[in-house]
Amino acid sequence: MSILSVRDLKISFKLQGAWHPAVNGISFDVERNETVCIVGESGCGKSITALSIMGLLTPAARLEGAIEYNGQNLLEISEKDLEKIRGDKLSMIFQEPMTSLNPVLKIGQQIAEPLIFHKGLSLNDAWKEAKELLELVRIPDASARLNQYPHQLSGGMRQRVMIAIGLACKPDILIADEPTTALDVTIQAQVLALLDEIRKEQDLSIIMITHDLGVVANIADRVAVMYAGDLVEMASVQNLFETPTYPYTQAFLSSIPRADRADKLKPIRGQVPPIYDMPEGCRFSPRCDEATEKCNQKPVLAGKMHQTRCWMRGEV
Amino acid sequence: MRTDSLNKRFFSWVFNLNPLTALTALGLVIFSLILVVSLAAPIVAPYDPLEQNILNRLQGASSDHWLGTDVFGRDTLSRILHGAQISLVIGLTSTGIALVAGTGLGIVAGYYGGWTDIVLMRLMDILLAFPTLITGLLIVAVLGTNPINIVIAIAITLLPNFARVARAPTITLKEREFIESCRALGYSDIRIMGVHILPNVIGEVVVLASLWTASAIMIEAYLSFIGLGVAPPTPTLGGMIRQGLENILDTPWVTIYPGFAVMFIVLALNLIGDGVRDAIDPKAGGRS
Repeated sequence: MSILSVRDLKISFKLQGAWHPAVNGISFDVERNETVCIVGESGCGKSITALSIMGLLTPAARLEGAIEYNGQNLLEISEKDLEKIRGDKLSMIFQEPMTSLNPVLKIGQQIAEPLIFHKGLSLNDAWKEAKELLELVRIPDASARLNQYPHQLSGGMRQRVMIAIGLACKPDILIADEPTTALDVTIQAQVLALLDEIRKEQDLSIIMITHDLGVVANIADRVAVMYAGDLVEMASVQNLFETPTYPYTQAFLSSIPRADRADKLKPIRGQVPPIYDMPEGCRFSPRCDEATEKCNQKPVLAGKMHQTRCWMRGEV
Repeated sequence: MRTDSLNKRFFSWVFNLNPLTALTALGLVIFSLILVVSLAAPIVAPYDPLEQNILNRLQGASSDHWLGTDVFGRDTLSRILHGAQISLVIGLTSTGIALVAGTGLGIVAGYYGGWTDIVLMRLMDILLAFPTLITGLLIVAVLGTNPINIVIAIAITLLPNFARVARAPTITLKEREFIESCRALGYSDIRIMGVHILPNVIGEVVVLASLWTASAIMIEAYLSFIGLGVAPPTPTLGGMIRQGLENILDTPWVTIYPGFAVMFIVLALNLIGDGVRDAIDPKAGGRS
């Protein structure tokens, strides 16, 4: 059984009296010890999908569908029960390591706190565990670092500390929302390699939110491509990069500069339509070169191992 | 560099203390001196603070009366020593109560926002709209005059200041990413407010508390002056300043000496307040 299963998740916000779905009925599964990347451009709904899994969306959002963790629908359980799961079984790391740590608390306290809160450890035991966690995320001189404050650490170190906090309670799922965007490329590669190692060691599932295809190629097992609130393509990382099928994914991949090709970059024409003016059918159709009459009707996500939401690719 | 030594007390879990600076130490010395001398007033005071001697009224400093005598011939030094004791107790307890309650209310209002914020802060505005004397007067008039009610009245008049000072940074803090991270770790609202927001806010509050302790001592003096404070003949510093005002042109020392006493208390508290802020703020400390 999948550790996390998102079923027909729809997230709507009220704009000028009408509800508009920012995430329009997406479904995907995450298996144990697997890294799933959700990719898409800004505003496609990938971050709010992540927040909705954590139950951290504002009360102004309307959620429909189901998010099943271990067979338990997270959308239906109480806030109190959710607080017990959050940070313990599901944890999340954020984009900005510079501001994601409390500036007035020591690193050690911040790593020890989830252990005290969720596992009921004494401060002494939690502190020892915090030291092991810092060693796990490859921070040298861990016992000295525990007594330092966030401003005494570099960006890469802080993101490692964030990962240590996220992993403190040995969660089943780690959701990482663009964890490497604020880091430079070498540190980025180190952090990704670290996450991958820890995933193998701890039988962890990772949901990585990113817009960076380099990150995807580096770490993903499977990739979900989102466009304007729709999940448009879902495939293993090899299949996606070798044979992208959805027109947006194809365009997305060919809009990246490559060192081994001299041809001109092909930007995707047009813009994402605003949320209150979405086309009825395929949401990418206004920008798609292959769109036909049929695309005015909503396509379904078809296929088994390699799923695509496109009328033109039904047979894949 | 510090080693793996672990602070086990709750206080140092929330507030990591940096080493004290020389000025803070000076503040602590002055304050402890005042505290010890005033607590030991019954022993060290040369005269009974209530004993009148009408033949010796309004005398200047002499070897008999180091700081002179007041309008009833009572020894000013003895009265300052006894008065400091009462003023300190009233000033510190009322500021303490206001600090705890006001900071709590301010953080709650800022953290939850919306109606909670509107209701709490409008209540604070109502309290602030009245001059401190009027608020204190109303509360004492309703509750009746005894030392506990005076402390409560002063605490309530100071409370809105603390609430405002604590609320403003809370509003910006709660939008910071580390608070979002706290939610993602499943922490309860109370834990986020107590363990993550409070240590970020307390520095500013404590510095101002040292100033407001002086205000508390003065509010007590106003209340004494209109007969709602600590009743005469019991000496308080504020009461003595007020009483001396009547003859300030002829015999200024009756007012000036207790004034100096208030000044030293406030100076010492300010130095301590500054030190406490530096001790709490990890970036201000000399630690690396």
